[in-house]
Amino acid sequence: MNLGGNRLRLRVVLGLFALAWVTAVVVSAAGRPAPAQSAVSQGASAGSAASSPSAQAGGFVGDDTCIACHESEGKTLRGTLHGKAQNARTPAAKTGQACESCHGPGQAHVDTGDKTKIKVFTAMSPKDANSTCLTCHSKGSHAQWNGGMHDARNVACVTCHSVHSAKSERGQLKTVMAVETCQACHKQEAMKVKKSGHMPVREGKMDCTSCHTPHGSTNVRMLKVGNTLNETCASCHAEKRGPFLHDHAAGRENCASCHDPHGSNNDRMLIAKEPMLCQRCHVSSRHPATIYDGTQIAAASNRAVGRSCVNCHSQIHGSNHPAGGMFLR
Amino acid sequence: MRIRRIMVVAGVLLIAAGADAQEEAGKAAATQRDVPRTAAAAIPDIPLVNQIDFGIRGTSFGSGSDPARYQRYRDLRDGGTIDHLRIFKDTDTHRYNLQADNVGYRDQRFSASYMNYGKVKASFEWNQIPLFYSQTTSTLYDQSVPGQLTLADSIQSGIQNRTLTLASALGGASVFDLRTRRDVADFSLTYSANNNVDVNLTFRNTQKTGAYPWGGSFGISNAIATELPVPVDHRTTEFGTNLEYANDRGFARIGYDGSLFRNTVTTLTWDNPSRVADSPTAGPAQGRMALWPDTEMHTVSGAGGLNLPGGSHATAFLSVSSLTNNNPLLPYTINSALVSPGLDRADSDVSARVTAMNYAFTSRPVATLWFSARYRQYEFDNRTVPFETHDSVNYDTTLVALNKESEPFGSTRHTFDADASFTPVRHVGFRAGYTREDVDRTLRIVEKTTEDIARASVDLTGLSWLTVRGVYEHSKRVGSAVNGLELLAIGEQPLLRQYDISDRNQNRFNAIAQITPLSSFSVNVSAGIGTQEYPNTYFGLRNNDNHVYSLGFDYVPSNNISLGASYGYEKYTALQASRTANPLPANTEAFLNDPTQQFNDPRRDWTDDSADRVRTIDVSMDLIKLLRKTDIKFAYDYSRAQSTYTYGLAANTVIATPVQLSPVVNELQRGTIDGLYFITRRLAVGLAYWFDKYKVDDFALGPVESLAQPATATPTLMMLGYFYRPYTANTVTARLTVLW
Repeated sequence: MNLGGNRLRLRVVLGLFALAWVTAVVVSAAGRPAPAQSAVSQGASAGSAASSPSAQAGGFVGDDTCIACHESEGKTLRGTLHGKAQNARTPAAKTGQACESCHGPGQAHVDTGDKTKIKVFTAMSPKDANSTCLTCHSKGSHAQWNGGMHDARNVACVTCHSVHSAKSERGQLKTVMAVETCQACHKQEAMKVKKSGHMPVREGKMDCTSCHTPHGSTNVRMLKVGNTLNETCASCHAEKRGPFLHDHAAGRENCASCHDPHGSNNDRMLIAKEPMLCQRCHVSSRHPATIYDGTQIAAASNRAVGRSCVNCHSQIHGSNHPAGGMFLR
Repeated sequence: MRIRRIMVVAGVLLIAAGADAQEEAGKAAATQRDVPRTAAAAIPDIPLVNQIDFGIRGTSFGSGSDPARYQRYRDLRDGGTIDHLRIFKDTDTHRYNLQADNVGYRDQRFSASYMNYGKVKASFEWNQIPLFYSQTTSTLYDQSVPGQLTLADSIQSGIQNRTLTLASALGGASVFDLRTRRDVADFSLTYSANNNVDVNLTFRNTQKTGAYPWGGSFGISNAIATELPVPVDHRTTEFGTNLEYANDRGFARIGYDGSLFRNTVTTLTWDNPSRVADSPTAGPAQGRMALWPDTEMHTVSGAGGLNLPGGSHATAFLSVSSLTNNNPLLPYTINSALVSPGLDRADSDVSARVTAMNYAFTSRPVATLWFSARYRQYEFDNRTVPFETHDSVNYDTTLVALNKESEPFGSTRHTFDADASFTPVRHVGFRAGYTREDVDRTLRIVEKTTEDIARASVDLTGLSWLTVRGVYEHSKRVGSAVNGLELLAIGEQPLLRQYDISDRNQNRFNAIAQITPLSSFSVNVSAGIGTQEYPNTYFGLRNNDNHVYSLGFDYVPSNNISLGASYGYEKYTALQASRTANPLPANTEAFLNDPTQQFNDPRRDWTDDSADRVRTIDVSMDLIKLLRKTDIKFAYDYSRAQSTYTYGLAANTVIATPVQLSPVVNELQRGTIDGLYFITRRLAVGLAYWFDKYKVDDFALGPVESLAQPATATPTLMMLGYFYRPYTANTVTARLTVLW
């Protein structure tokens, strides 16, 4: 591919992107109401019927009115962190307006009984619903929600979380375990975890959030720690972090070049069995280019059986030995 | 460099702007708070949230079972158990939480958390994660001194003098448990100074102890490669703090994170089973290698974000890290019969500076349109001065003239993402996106790669009866020109391409649908197809594809019954190519076109066509109070993976026809029945039965009769006996559950 052509293409895409954005901002600015003052109303984003000026014009009715009909929701809210009035950041801190802090002013809904006159998050578009949650959940990993993969794919906060009927011990998830929530969409990863080579996820010692942050991150693949996949891996496997006197180039490039962290059919969660894995990059003369077939196995070649290549190249992640260039010491 | 500086300055300005904006907004918020804070009413109807289980557990294993693999990340020894302790106290002002699992066992976990709502949030966890490799491993080595594995001189001299065979010596090997354990202490504290400011502290200490399988070798020909129980005793201490400010106009954060890795055993010496005395030609009496060195990483980071007009958000993140590894270097060899060459320097003196930045902008100017752009840069600036080696020692055995220097790999990665989505109606979103990634590397055969990725997705969400998500992605990675002579110089084929950096065309399609025709019944189906082609690769990985499908359903006819089942099929295939040949004389270019050289003979080419096929079945059924006072849960998981490796030869091959390898099969089954009968509301008795079965057939890791392999007069491998063995386990746990 012509690199110069790539640059041109990049500029064209950038230009189109900027043009589209500016156009959309200008178009939207023409009909935009004055900015709202409170955090909650500011969080209610454009496009939501429930948060439109007409829907909010009716004013607040107070919790007692809401709970008169929605008794169970009122009870469950008080048992959650959202219901702790001492925390000034919670909806409950607004006296009598815990429900409407999130669901918006309810007068119109009360007056008409119309369910479209109140914010029902499961019936809203994901981005509208999320903007309400993000009004308060703006720190930590939530600060990176916008533009993250789940934001891009229209995942709603209420896809995974439930304020009123959570089942998990932490995080108010809709399922008991975080893994169950994630595998609803991430089927392939869930199946990999069940392979013979896996991390202790099935055993309950880790879960998806041990490595990933579903709310967004500055790292790739929504990884929780560091700025690259390698930095995430090294947060638990610090011994392999290096840098070493002699680094293995493939390892420095990406741990996932050789390992599948979700699980594999191979020892040490390698993406292929040794020696075949190593032979994908090493075809040099003598033993790296040998066919390790049934004859070699029958002869118990020490380059094929047991730990295969790392029977000798044990320092494959890197060596601090002066003679460790081939990772033998 | 100039671009980087500009980006750094832009990031700092954005972070500063965020902090400034937040200060103004914070002042406004203080005067505009419309509702005073009051205490809420007491929480009514608190369910029974406190629990403890007292139990007794026993397991019977089928003949030939491997209890270690059954307990790989667990400790399921027979005996009494205290499990699932949950103590929870929630008031209007505080929350306490205490948990304990598997108390007294190697996989025990304790945690405690405390919240003073709106002020302090603290948590502590002690988590032990065992990794049980084998309880049938055996070795001739004495492990009493960490890092020094010694053999009796009589064994070494016997094998050296051929009065003793390795196989017969191994008859006296001692059996031991091969295991490691990771003890993780994790503490975090968040102090909320006011409505906008949080101070976060984290501390985590991970101690890893035990031993795991390792390899040590004394040469390629006629030497015995040895599997060793390498001692593990290292600690990683991580600590961090950050100050975070957020309000409805944005956020700012500044933080520090440190990570110290300390290894108690940084050197491994192990006796050579075939020599009792050092020799300048026949090898040493022992070998020595450097184990994991002590390292440090320190990171300072800042982040900020602004909520802008037009439903827009801008965020910036910048971090600078320092990595160091400064440890004394070992001499080239421990072999006293050789003169160890002089070291280029006494210490490793390895360091790198990592600069990472991430700038994102998203905008939703109207409800139907959404834009996102992100630029990410990651620079791993390896500042290590290359370590020069003129003469070296291979395997502590042979003095060689090398005249090489170490290769301190570094890279700089620039990634730009742009996405736009269009949501014409509330439930449907269409997205198109583009990513450009440029990577500049030092000391790799491909110094620069550029990858263009285009993607499109559709997401149908929010309907009660249907969810559909689909994404297609196409990418093309192109690298800078490869100098085949550089490959030749290290003995590699000039047409080799390393798949992690080579030219690549990639397609990926994923789709998932969930159909819920009844509120009690849903069906889900998913498909994932991925293809990778390496167009300019002659030797190495040529293609790598995957096909993954799943089908499942969930049925919840009432509050008492729920059941579900799923079936998954995965297929991963790859094709790689190589050539078995002698090297060119001195790896010189002059012979590169010499048809008499094996190295140049395409008739010596071979391919390996590998395929992994995996089938997964999950079935579960919960019957909650369907029978009076009784909860019963059934579950069954099945996973069968079969890997094949098929060798192919050129049509006019001159090499012997290979004997194809037998498939590698891993089959896991787990069935559980867990019943709980409530004698009273606060007291229940339970009985659980687990059936676990693992079948494995692995040509390389399967058990062999002798740990000296091959079983001939001249073995070249002394094994530990860490094999992949099957198991069949029947575990019964009776328990008393107390709730309050």
